[in-house]
Amino acid sequence: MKCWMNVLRPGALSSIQDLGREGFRSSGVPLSGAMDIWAARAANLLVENEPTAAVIEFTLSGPTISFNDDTVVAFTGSRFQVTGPRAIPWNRSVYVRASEILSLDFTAQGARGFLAVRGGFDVPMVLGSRSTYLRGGWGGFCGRALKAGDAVPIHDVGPIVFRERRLRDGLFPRHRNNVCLRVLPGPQWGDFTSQSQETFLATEYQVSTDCDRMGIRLQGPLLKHVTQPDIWPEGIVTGAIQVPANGQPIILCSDQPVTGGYTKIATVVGADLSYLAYLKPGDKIRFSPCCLADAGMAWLKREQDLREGVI
Amino acid sequence: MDIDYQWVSEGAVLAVMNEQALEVAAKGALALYLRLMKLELPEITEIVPGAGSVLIFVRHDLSDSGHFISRLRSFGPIEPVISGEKCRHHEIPVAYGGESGPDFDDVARQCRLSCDELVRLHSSVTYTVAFLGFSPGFPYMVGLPSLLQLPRLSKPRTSVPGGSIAIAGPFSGIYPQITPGGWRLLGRTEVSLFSPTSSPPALFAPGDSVRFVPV
Repeated sequence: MKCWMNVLRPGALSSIQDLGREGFRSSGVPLSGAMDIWAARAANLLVENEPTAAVIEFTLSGPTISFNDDTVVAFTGSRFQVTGPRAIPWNRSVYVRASEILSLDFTAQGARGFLAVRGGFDVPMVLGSRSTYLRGGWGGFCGRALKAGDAVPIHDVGPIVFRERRLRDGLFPRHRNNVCLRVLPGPQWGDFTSQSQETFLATEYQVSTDCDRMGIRLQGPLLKHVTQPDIWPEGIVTGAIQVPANGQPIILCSDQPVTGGYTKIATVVGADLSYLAYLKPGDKIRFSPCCLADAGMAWLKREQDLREGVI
Repeated sequence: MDIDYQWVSEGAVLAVMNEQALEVAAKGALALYLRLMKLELPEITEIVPGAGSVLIFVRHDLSDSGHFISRLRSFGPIEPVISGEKCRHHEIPVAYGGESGPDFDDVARQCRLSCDELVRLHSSVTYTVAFLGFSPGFPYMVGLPSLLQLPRLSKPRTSVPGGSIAIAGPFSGIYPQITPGGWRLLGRTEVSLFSPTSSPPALFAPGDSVRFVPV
């Protein structure tokens, strides 16, 4: 029987994402994908999907949904307020009956949460991924955020057998509104005055209201360039921290363009990228220097934690 | 030219061409990109050329990062190229000036050219696509005559029509879809530059050659 999810209320910004669109950056196609790939993968593991299955990423206020058939879901990421009669536990597999309404409201914690459903959302694969490229209006569900009235198809995996699964306590630290992100220097670390380099590592930055899936703009003391902020356009990794002429850093996120022409003072290490998903305006960030070996170890540790994190 | 390699994250190495002239550096980056694509090293997951650099994404489970960089360094210096084996040539029809090129008259005036001379000059060269970036399918082409090398607009437009042929600094480019943009718009083409459901999705690839054909 065909399965789908009904969207009764979409929430502020809910879109289909998976682990991102690899392999087309040299054609100018951004990675996109879930802002916290660990939470997306964990949600999929809880409902016994492949880690690459498409999930819903929801932002600031969550959706109200129902399913046309019994199914199993899981919610990960920051906890959102639950309204309506059905309780929704977080970080565990949840059995949902046909037509039962799950209703999420705002979050008092971090900005985003993730929803996986048994079988994964069945939207067309575009360039090897089901992620929505919102800026381009393609991929995911019709290339856009979900709207009231949408019926999002789900892969049919046969009769539902419910198995209780949950995440180990502490696998995902509770969101705090002040975080410390480990960074590697550069690639244009040397283009900044030594005073600005010190300032960058000593400042408690504030997240501005200008933050989205492309980038998170920070407010703090101005950073000064030795010569100028422009560089020849070059490839960018997610988590790169760009500083244009106005001296205010921007942490580049999943939907960022693949090349850019501004100096980058540092890059958030891969293991800390997931914190970017939860930052809200007013949150505070400090940066701490990290070496390449430690960055590599940190990534491997997160992988191991996830492998051992579902019980 | 020599190449400097640095890890920019635990999953990516940036190879920077040691060269002051942008066009030469771009052709060096193109050469490295084409060479790495041909070698198909198992550690590499993706390669993104830039104006004078190549960003090399590697597998996170790379056990020996030092060894990988040593291997890249062992390739030695690179010679600039303008093309490769699988690169294609494109003839792009362009309607210059008028509503299609809102900055055309201003560029002609600043460069002290008549309209005919500007069309002739811009369309007289064979450009090389050095890399794609900014938005899906957007080509950064080198070969723009130095007379036409003007800075970006001081005030970018919030909306540039898709198909717009544009110039800024040493580059000529084409906006594949409507986006904000600060480049100077000379004309427009009807050719489609990007479609996510096509294979390949982008019309252009690094190393392709391009001529503009006035219509």
